[in-house]
Amino acid sequence: MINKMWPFSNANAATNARLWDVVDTHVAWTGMRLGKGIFSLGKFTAAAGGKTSKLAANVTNETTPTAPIWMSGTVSGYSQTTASNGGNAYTRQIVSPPGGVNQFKGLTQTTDNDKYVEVNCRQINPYFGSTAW
Amino acid sequence: MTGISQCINDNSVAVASRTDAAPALLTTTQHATCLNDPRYLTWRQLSIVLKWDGTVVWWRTDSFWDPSSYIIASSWGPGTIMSSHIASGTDNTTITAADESKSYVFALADGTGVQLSHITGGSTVVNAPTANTSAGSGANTLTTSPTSFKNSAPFRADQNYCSDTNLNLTGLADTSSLAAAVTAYSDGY
Repeated sequence: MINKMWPFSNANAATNARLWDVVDTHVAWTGMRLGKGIFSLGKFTAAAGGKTSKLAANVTNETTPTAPIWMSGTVSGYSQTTASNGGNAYTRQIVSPPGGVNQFKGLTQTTDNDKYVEVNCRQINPYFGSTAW
Repeated sequence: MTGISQCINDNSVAVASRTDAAPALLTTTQHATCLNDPRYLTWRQLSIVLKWDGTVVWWRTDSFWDPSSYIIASSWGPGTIMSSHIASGTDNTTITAADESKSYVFALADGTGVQLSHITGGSTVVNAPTANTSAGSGANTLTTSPTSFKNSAPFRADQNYCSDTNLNLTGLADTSSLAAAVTAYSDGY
């Protein structure tokens, strides 16, 4: 289940560049698989110039498919690469942490807990370093 | 966001554990444990910040428990959004010019809202809070679940309002003097 897709450019825009002139280079997904959260990343392989011309022609004849990208980030905390749940080098499985405050104090995250504590990655909230409007 | 689990009706619905090769049914014991797990009775949100390449920057959990609720996850609502709406002057006047639009907000099912503050700024990425970050610890007295849950009239109208929102929720300036009623929401305080 995919809840959210977010295309973005991994390169900073030139100073004073218009947002629509920034060509997306990657696309991120969030969702859920087998009750656990999923975050995945793909890379557009077509040249930026090619995509611009196709946009102008109002067609989507991307000839080279979007390819998964191997994330370079270190897996830590509750981001995992558990293969049995779909995690790997380009897909992260997000699991629930133990503990919490108030009534959530002392909660564990054992194998049994994993069977019923669901994680659903619902949103991507990108942060853009930007100039205030 | 966690809290909607798979023990809602019976033990015939299964999910995989993080190590299971295939989903498995809950046992009777696991089902009983699930029914009394606070994560089942209300929502619990995990906010995890990743760089674009997957590097984990920080994470935190936020949660709320309404002991008087008789609807499963009655505070379930839309997911978290970054408070950066152009109509929100508040978003654009907090912290410093370089740190604008870094508050995260979300709506509860009853129409109220929560903001995740204490997120300090940085030029390239939202950084983890540097203070007020003590996580909950110690023993937890598990709450015995109600004997039944209802999601129909007359109980539905007053505790199950929103499944989506266009509320103009606005993040406010970081402050270290929040009331306990606010800080109790989050591990981030």
